[in-house]
Amino acid sequence: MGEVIVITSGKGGVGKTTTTANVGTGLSLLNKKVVLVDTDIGLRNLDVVLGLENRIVYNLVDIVEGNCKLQQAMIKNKDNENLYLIAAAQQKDKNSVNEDQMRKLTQELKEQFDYVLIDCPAGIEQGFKNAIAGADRAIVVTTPEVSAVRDADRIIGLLEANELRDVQLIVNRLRPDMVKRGDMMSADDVVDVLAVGLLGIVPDDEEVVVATNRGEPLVVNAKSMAGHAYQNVCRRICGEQVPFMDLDSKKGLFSKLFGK
Amino acid sequence: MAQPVSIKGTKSGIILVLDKEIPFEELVPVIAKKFKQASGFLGQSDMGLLIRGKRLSDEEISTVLELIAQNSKLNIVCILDEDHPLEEAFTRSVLHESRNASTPVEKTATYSAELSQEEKAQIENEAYRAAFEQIGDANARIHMGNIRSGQEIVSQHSIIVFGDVNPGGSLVSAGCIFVFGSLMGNAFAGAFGDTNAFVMATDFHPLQIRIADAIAVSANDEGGKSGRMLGRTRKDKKITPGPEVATYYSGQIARSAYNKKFQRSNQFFK
Repeated sequence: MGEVIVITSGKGGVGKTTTTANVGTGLSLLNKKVVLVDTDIGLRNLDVVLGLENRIVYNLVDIVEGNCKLQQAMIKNKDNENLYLIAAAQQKDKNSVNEDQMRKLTQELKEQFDYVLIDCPAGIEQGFKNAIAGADRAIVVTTPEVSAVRDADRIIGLLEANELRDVQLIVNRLRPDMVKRGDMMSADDVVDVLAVGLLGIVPDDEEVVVATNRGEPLVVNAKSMAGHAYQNVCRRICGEQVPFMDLDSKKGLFSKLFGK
Repeated sequence: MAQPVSIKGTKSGIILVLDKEIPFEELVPVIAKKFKQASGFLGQSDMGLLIRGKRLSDEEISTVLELIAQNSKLNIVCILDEDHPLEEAFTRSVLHESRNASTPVEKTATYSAELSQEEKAQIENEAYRAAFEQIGDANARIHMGNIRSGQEIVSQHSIIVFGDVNPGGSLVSAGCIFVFGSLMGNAFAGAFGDTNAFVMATDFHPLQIRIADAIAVSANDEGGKSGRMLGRTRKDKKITPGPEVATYYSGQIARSAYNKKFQRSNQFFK
């Protein structure tokens, strides 16, 4: 029996989809069987980040409406046997799926996969409710900005109100140099406010943009800081104890980039 | 009694007065009607209920609660028993006080003399009201855990929070507010206009404080450039001055340290 993890943030543009793609790919590389479900109906892009846009035939709405079988809508990843995607519909909207249907779907997927990752849309409306309906645990993504943290706080409150208490945090796009200058909140500051467990700190990395445009998740590339951070996140999800990366020291950065 | 059913509101609860002579079954539709009429006025909040005039069985009381739930937005959190020893004690002491008061002319005279049923009820009413308000003040809504953005606690009683109140979170109380943690959201004490209410927090960084009709907004430039990030940064926390309290002071809100000086001030005892 697998586990359903919802990846959410409240605010848009903080890296939910990037995180879903990278954590999903990372877990599959750790020999876990993973399916990614995009619940951002109408504004899908998890398929684009994974480079699977051209293969979509059936989508999430087709499954719940019974137009296809579950297996037909699962898109196998390019060169990874363990990773599947269920894409969102682009022509419909969030109200075409409801919570009960999502609960049923995740229940079915749980029996076939080790991890079911749900990419949640921004906002707190129907799309959010659908995404968290069948989840066992939640990963809240935030950037170290007041607005993102404020939304993350609201989201955690809503998750708790929906009896989802296993909530962990990923602080995305952290810039160690700015933190050092006191111009940006540190991960500790964010954790202090949100009072939930920290799952990972992902530094701001140009490579992310490159990887996204290319449709290849960054996590495969251990040389990049962000990719390495996502690998650590995946290992922590599997229950390993992994120390947090030393983002502060310049030397550490160089040795990680060129040392090995 | 003029009316078979009447509703009286106090600061922290409602008193439902029923006519002893009329059987309960006949009172039911009247109670329903009364609450329907008054629902707009009573609003939606947590209230205590006191039934007076007629002794009701448990079943009848639950019927009354159902009627209230159906016909108004009130949330009855407790039912007070008139025979409660505490209330008796209050009643006794209040009556005792009024008898020994320095103006013994009217009240004492009427009390010790033979009283008509009406007058007796009147005095008892006063005593109970006083007792009720005392009990109302002694109660508090206690919340364990953090209040996050978008969450709100509204209570007739004082509010005690064991945890943080994050920015965007809000507390509204008719009484005082105590936060054992960081207060970084909004707090509104004395929501019914009680200017003696105050707000206390062990770590005091609110966005907004309101007491009765006064309002105070946090300074924008607190802590300079980096200070705007959620009020402060990690470094600033080290110089946190400890528990602080906001009180109402001649139409303004005053902020001061919660220390011996404050405890000695008459604000604390009011």
